[in-house]
Formats: sequence, structure tokens, C-alpha cells
Amino acid sequence: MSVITKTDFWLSLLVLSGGIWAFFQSRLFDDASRSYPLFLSALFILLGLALLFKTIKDSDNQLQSITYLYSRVSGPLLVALLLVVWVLLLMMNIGYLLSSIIILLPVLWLLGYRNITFILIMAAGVVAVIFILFWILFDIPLPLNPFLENVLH
Amino acid sequence: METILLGFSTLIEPSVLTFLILGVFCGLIVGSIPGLNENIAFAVFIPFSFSLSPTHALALMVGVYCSAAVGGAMPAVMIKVPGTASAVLTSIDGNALVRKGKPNTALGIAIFSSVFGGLSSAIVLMFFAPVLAAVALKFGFVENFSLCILGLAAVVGMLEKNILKGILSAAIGLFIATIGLSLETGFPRFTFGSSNLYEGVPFVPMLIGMFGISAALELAEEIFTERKLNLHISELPQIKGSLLLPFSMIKRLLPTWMTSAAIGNVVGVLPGAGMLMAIYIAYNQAASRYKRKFKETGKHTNWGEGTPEGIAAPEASNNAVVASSMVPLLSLGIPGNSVSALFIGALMIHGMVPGPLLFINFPHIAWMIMVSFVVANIVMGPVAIFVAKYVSGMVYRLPKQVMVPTIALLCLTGAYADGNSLFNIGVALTSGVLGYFFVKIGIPHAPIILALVLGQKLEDSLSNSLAISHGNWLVFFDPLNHPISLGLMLLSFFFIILPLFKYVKAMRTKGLETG
Repeated sequence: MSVITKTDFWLSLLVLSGGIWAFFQSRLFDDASRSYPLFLSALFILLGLALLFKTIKDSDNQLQSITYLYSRVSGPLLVALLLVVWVLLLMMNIGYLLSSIIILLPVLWLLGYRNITFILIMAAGVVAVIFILFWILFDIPLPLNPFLENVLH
Repeated sequence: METILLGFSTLIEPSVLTFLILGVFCGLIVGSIPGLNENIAFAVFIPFSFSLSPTHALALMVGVYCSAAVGGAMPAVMIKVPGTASAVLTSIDGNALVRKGKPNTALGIAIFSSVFGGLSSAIVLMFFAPVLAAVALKFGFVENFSLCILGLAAVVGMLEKNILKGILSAAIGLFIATIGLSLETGFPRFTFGSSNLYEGVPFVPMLIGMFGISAALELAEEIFTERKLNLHISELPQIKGSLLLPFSMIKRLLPTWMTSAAIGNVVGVLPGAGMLMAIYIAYNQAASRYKRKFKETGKHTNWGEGTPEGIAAPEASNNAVVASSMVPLLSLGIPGNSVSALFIGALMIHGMVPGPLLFINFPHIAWMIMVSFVVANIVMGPVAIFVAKYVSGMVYRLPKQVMVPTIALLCLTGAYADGNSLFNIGVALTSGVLGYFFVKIGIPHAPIILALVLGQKLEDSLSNSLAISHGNWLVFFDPLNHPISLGLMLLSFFFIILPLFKYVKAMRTKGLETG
């Protein structure tokens, strides 16, 4: 199988390019602050090259392919994407309670639940328990929507 | 003796003791849930420790850490699904014994072995950590640098088959540790102009993400890939009567317990070695001993088909790793494994730094932690019996579909709580997704975490050592002025070279075989 279908090949290129980027960035630092990051970026470049060499050498062996990796991570990545949307909703001042419930609905659906009533109850229940735990029990203020904040205060 | 009493006097406060017992209970429950482990429990718990006193928070964490492995053994024995990775070998003989109609014996052996292993490692911690800490107090910049190198070399060296990715993992951790204002001149490095990064990448949210979020994503992956796999846990075997072991069984298992506990303690003290290495060594050792001993009689069970020693060896060894993995953390400030790295997060929240100075600045905390391990292991026996008989059956049935969003939301909310900052949520989410990808492409977490912890210390001690020695790199190998450093460097060299040597040898053998 071609070496470019292997995850380690792309990882080695990523490490190599990351090392080169870090090397040039480090050169912009002052004299006293640059030597250690320069050493680390050189290490990344070496590791990238070593990994690339090893991948090319072992390409016939049972190295993980990109398609296999994609088949494993595509589902969890959708969950992660929904969590990113949750952060965006928080940044838009939608508030913790509402944005959490909004996001848990598709997450629970994605994970296999199909009963809408159950999903609604479960999402609201999980969010309520976590909110009570942090806000009331541990006295840690969570980002609320301005309307709810006025009500609670 | 006075110091041990100091630890006891701190722990004996009813509320602290209650938190310890609560921790033991929670650890057993968390361990019983397949897919959850002490890492996730800690990642979820760390934010809560803001609102607790350090004694309460640490007592709870010690309780969780001690008992999670025993909790993991319960589903491993009863339904052959290891609750934690460290119970993977327990499931072989444990479940075989259950299928022979002896669930009480199987669970009893698992619990007794765990208590034995745990107590042995608590004693090792009490005696070795203060001695090592006293030695570490004499360390200067040169020795500290060599110590950091040894810590990293040990962790990377343990990954025999994956040494390149182990080094890469450590390099990633060291690189992340450079982000922020330079220690020497205050020059911003890799901050992209963001003031949020001036003090470096926030450590606690990063830990929470790396362990909690990545675990939630792994659980999600399990749901997606194994949706069709239904475990018939409705047919749980019944546990009736006592879980206590008869004296004859204790006498029979004592040699296995002692050997396995010794293996677990040695492995636990080594940074990065972890429970899995301990259980495999102990299990293999117990197997060869069992076969040797019972070969002639022919009356005993075949190995792997329900032998008591097959349960006792992994359980005694994995619990022996627990407290002994705290030896390098408490004495040298180097975490023995990922869980002890998470302890750093909890200590840092309360303004404490693990290492030799903990014994001087906060002796009551340092000794309370060590004494807590002894007490937690004593308490663990009866609590584990209670949980095994009355609670764990319900716990195995908790649906993963609910656990994924709960863990994710708890972790991200916890990350926010560390400074009330949305930026921290971003850090936790990013490190969680990256951590998940690292697992998928074979980059281990342990070296990253260790390198993150040691990164600043490494750079600081390196620059100071070179300044003292006027740029002479041989200062780390100076047998006259820095013999400890030389010893540590040689040991580091040994840790890295040995697996490389084995790798090259294996490649040569493979090359000869293929042609």
C-alpha cells in the first residue's frame, strides 16, 4: 500500500513542518530566550525526519491507514464539533443553561437515543444537576444569559 | 514518628476522614463503570477542589486513587468487562471462577489482594518519600536538570516498542511548556499576541481536557463502533453470603501477594512505568510459579481457568503501584504516572508545589497524604465488600450514552471554573481533541504530561547550570563536583539506550529471518 495513505506519514510531515515553523519563530526571540526553543524545534525537525524514514521503511507493514483512522474518529469528532458550537453559544451570551441544553439534545441523539421526550428530560436533568453542583454547592458562578442573571440576582 | 503523628492528627479530623471514606466509595463506583477510571474521576473532580480545603480535597483524591483499581476488578470478575485497564488480566481467571459458581471467592480474592498490595505500597511511600526528599533538598541546578532528564528518559524508555513517538510526546510537552513569557527576560514566546497565554497554557484546564474530554470522546467512539455489541448483564451472578477468605486460601495466596506487591512497588516508583507493566510482570511471574508448583499433582485448575493466583497477582500488583507512584512526586516533584500528575493540579490550586519543599513548607499536608494511603487501604476492604454486594451490580448498567455528555459537560464546566474564563474552556476542548488524536495515532499521554510538569524546571535549571559553569555542558557529568548528577545522567542514558539496543536487535533478527 502507498506510503501516503498511512497516518504516520502525515504525522511526520506535520512534525517536520511544525519544527521548521517553530525554528523560524524562535529566531525572532531575544538572545537569552531563543536558545531553548531553538533546540526544541531542531529536535522536532529530527523527529519528523526519523518518523518519515521509519514510515517509508515500514510502509508494507501493518501501519494505520488514514481511512481506518477516519472510520474510527468521525463519530467522536462530530461530538467534539458540537462542543465547539457550545463554546460559541457561550461566547454569544446565550448563557450556560440554554446553550448546554441546546447542545446536549443533538449529542444524545447522535449517541443513539431516538425518543425525543427522553432526550429532552435527560438533557435538562444533566444540565440542571451540573448547574446546581457548581453554582449552588460549590459557589462557582457560571456564565448566564443576561436575562436569567437579572432574575437570579 | 512525630511526623507520622502529625499526618494522623490532620487526617483524624472527622470531616477529613469522612472525605477519605467518601473518596474510597467514589473510587469503587467510578472503577466499577467500564470505560471510566481514576484519571477521568480526577479530571472531573479537580475543579471542585477549589471550594474545598486542601486537606479535604487531597483526602478525597487519595481515597479515589486507592480504590479505583479495586472497583475496576468488580465488573472484570463478574461480567468479564474490565472496569479499568489495570483489571484486564483479573477478568481471565476471575470470570472463569465466577462461571464455576464461585463469585464470592473470586471477588474476595480480588479485594483481599488489592488491600494487601495497597497497604504494602502505602508503607513503601511512608518510608521512602521522606528519605528521598531529604536527599533532593541538597540538589542544585545541575542535579535538578539531570533529575528532569532522568524523569523524561524513564518515561520514554518504558515505551520500548514506541520510543520515537515517546520522544515526540515528551518534545510536545516541553514545547507547550515554553509558551508564555520567557523566564529569563520576560519575552513573549509563541503567544500569538494573546495575553491569556502570557503565563503559559493554563495547566489545570489542559489536564482536564487531556484526560476528561479525550476519555469522553473515546467512550463516544466505543458507542459508535460497538453499538451492536450487547452484553447480557441481566444475567449477573448472585453474590450471597460472606466475601471473606478462609485462612487456608490466605495462606496459599500469601507468597503470590508478597511477590506481586514487591513487583508493583518497584514498578510504581519508576516514573511512567504504570499499572499495566506491573500486572503483566506479576501475572507472568505468578503463572510460572503456579505451573512449577502444581505441575506434578495434576489436581489443580489449569492456569487461566479460574486459578486464585491468577486473580491475586494482578490485583496485588496494580494496587501496589498506587501509593508507590507517589514516591517520586512527593519526594522529587516528578509524577510517577498520569494520576499522580493530576495530583499536581489539585496541589497547585491550593498554592502548593509537590517536591522536597512540600515536607518543609506544608509538612502536615505531605504527611497527611502518606498516612491517608494507609488508612484508605484499610478502609477499602469493608467498603469494597459493601459495594461489591449491594451497589456494583446497578453501576455496570449505567448507559455510556449518558456518561459521554455528562463527563464532557462536567470537565468543560470545571475548566471554566478555573479562573472563570471561556478561554480555559477552549484550552480544555483543544487539549481534549488533541489528546484523543494522540491516542489514536499512538502518541502516549504520559511523556507529554511529565514534560509539561518538568518543562520550566528543565529550562530554568539548564540555563542556570550553564551560567554557573560558564557554558560548560560537561558540568552534568562532573564526577568530582556533581557526582549525583553524573549518576542520574548515566541512569538516564541506560533508560534510553537499553530499549534502543533491544529495538535494533529485534530489527536485525527480523531482517535475518526475512531474508
